[in-house]
Amino acid sequence: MAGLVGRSGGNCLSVPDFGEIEETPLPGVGVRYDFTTEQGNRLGIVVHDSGERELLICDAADPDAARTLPLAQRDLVRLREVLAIGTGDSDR
Amino acid sequence: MLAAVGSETARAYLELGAVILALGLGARLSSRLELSPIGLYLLIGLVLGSLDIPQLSGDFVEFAASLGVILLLFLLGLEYTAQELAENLRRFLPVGIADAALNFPPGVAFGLLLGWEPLAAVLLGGVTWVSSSGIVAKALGDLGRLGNRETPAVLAVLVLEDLAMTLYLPLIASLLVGGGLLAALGSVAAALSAAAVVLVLALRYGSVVGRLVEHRSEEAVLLTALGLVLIVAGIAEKLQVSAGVGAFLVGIALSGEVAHRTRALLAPIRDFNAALFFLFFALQIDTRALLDVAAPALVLAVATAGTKIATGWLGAARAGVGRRGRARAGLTLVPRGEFSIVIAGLGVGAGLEPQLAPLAAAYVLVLALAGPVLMRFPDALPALPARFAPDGARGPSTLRRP
Repeated sequence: MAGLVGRSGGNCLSVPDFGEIEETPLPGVGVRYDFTTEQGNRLGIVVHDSGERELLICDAADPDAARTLPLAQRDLVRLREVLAIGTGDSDR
Repeated sequence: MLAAVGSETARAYLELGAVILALGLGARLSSRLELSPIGLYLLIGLVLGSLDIPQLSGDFVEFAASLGVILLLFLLGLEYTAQELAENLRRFLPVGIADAALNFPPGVAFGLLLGWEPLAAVLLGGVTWVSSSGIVAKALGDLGRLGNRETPAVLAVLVLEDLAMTLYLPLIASLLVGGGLLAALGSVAAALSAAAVVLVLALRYGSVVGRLVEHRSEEAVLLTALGLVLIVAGIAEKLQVSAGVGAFLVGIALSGEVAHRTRALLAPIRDFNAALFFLFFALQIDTRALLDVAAPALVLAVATAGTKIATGWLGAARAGVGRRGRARAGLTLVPRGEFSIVIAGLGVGAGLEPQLAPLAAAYVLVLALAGPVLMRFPDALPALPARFAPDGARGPSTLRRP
């Protein structure tokens, strides 16, 4: 995973060079990867040392806080599919 | 003869079984109430202490309890890599210093005010200093705060406290055996060099220890790791660097995949022995003494909840976090737990100030139980109106709390 998410932000689909992906170590927990969307919200994931993942979306009322959503392996597959719809990357 | 031994063994099984079952019920209750189990183990120990069960004062429980401390520290060390420690030390050292400056002196001053000998007061300083890594780290996950901006600062405080213990515990261990200040400084120097060697080795040569422990068989990993930890803990104890610190350093030296595997394998053993450790600590406390120290413990708890809130506030402010996040960071750090009991336990083992154990138990009970309630408080506050929210929040697609 760490290999996929570079610091270049190249993972952002159609937004070239916008919102660099920030990598923040969380000692004893894992690593947080996030970026700031064009609208100014933080969006990313927390990858636990155990392999669990949580999606995080910042709260507009408090930019320091985030709402998190645990993602199972199959949720990740679905999320990737959903995000690819209509972008030309979709298999459907 | 054989029958007599058999009935004695049966009695031991029955008594230990009943006690462990009681701990299990405590763990269930704590899980249902979303409380830290440490508080409930202490409560169960206090109740059982007045029942006078012979098996509990036996060698088995005492040994299991000391193994609990070693494993607590070993698994804590396993959670961190040398890189993480170095990085946190570099980025957050001022926060760690502020944490020590704000939370260690209140305990010392309080002990001296109570008329204790200086060494007992220094131990009480340790009790008030260290937040509970276990309670805080778990709460961050449970409350969904791992994505928050203040969280790295909160975790850094925990990391630096654990690191500070590699110097504090040897200092205490050496002072407790009455070696004097010079010998104590020698112990600290030994611990410092050991820590430096482990950090440098781990940073330079990767996981040397890892290759020693790694094996496809789980049993092989379990037994190698456990044996290695006990040997290093024994050497550390012999050198008066404290067994726990030795175990912590072995944990640091192990990283990567093998560290995860070892942690998963040893966690159940740690849980069992740590439960017995908290129980054993509480068993030695006279329940009447607990009533005498209830008021001082409450005062100390309130005062050092305040100093911890200040610590978190400062740490989060340094990370550029707003006021709400600072309040969250401060309140999250309030709970004290396993380390406070480990430190107080050292004093009990050495026959120091009789009030230390009951005071520490009451103090930890208050903060381990009230802390998790306090840390939910910032989320319960109404959100700021959007127009007062800082710049980052101005987007039209406003995500609102339900």
